[in-house]
Amino acid sequence: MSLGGAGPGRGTRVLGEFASILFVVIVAISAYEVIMRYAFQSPTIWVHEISVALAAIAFALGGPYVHATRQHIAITFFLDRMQERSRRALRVFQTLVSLIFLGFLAYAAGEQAIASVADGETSGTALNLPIPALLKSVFALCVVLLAWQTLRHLINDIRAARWRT
Amino acid sequence: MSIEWITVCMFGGLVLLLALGVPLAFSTGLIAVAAALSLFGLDSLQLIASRIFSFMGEYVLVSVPMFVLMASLMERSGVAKDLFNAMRVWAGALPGGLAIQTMVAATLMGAMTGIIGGEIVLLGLIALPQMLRLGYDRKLAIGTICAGGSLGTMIPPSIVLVIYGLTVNVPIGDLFTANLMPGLILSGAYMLYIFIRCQLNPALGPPAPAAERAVPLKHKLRLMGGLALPVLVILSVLGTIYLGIASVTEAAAMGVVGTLIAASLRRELKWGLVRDAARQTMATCGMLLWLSFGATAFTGVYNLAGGPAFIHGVITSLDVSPVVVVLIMMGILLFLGCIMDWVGICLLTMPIFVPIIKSLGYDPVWFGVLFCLNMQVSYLSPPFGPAAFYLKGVAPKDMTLDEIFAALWPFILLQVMVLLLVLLVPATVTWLPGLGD
Repeated sequence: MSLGGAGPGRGTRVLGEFASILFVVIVAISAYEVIMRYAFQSPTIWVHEISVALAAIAFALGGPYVHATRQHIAITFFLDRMQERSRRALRVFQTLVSLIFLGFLAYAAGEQAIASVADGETSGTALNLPIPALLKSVFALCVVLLAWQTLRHLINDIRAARWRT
Repeated sequence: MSIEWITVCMFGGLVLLLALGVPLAFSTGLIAVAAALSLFGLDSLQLIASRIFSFMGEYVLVSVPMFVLMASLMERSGVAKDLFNAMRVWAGALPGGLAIQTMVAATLMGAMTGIIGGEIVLLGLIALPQMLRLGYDRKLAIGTICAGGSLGTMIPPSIVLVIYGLTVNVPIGDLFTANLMPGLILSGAYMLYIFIRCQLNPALGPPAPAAERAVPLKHKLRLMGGLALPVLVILSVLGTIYLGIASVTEAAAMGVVGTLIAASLRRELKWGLVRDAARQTMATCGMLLWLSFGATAFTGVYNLAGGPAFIHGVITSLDVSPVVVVLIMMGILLFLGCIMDWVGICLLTMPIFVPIIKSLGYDPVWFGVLFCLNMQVSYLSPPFGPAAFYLKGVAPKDMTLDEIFAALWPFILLQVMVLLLVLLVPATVTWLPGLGD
């Protein structure tokens, strides 16, 4: 599996495909809710909560999806005006800094996910499904995935920095 | 450590990391983590994770991918192109007519989309070649496209207002209602500017040759059919929100349905179209949301350290009139707009600014409109104005970024003038009373 590659790899495409389904499902169930409410006077109890959950999953997955192609917004103004050598060194620094953040976030998110799953945390609504436990786990996994991608970027950057100096 | 030093370290560190090219999402997050660890210890990292979870669970946030999806579908289908073509034939012999019609089309598109980017690309592909072909002044053409295309987040719906409403807890419907008039004033100001410049010097915007203008009225009216579908989508989305029939999220989802119906009536509806649009939605939302995660972590830690109270103290100790405070804030926002993305700015500054605004007796909805206008400037302002970069991607090869930015100054000036108008005459925002209830 190659999720951390520089170009959009297979894993990224799978993520994109999966997200399209999530978004289309949100559209479909929201339309269903509006129709049920106005045409049949019987609003559902699940559409609201399920749309939030599906969107949250898509948002979480969006991080690795964007990261796989290095599309995160960054200011490259100074970077573009640097010498090739210092630019490569700076790239290593950026990736390292990102990795530190993701490492700590993975720790915090992971701890919460584990606690939530262990407690069997549920949403406490009419549906009362274990949605919080699911979302926290998905988010933690995405942070780990991001960290893994970043680590691969770091290795690539260090290689690039060493080979061409 | 005193709050003064915490403030300097957190914001100074952020600027430094940004300047070094660390992605915005990770810069804010790293500073948040570092500050949390050094001020409150390892356990406080849970606060960061919790803030992110609760942000992700907001129902209103679901409207963001819906609005983005709606815009992506619109851009990929021929609906927007039809709209432009329907407007184009009415330009007539008026100097600058085509640019004014482009602005009308851009305003209508702005009412269909809540984001910027796609609209600029689209206008760059269909309207720019037309204007250049007629021999329009290049600067006027560039400015029309960039400023008009940026109206996407100014004319409701607007994801800038969705995020603002979420951050400061103001009903999104009220914000949409309030923003309508200033959005139209801005678009009207652009049209007036184009009209006046072309009246003074008709060579800036020559009309189409007479032979080309001689489109039979019947044909013109048939082209107007291209307006029907977009207008229907606009009315259904904004209508449901204003009349309170459905939540913003549901209205946005219905907008997607409407766009899909429009595409299917044009026989363009294929799974490939939907999939590509959904993929783009994924990329846009992934970027936006992870930016928000970092920024919300940053503000959470800064709040815990007592930052907002400190800033509040500094501002009240200035002992100036409330209007000056608002002007100072506008200056800060304009500056940040030059170097940062609007999501980051909103989540970093609004939790600090809006409580001050409220304590000064101002309306947070009105301030949201000011924020939105500010972000209009940020799209055009160098060196990172995203509108210029979007246009550059599709512009003729000989059109440089420098040329594009140089063309945008008059439009930035117009934006600032409208900003000042709304600031000094709040009635521009509150003239639609009760509609948002």
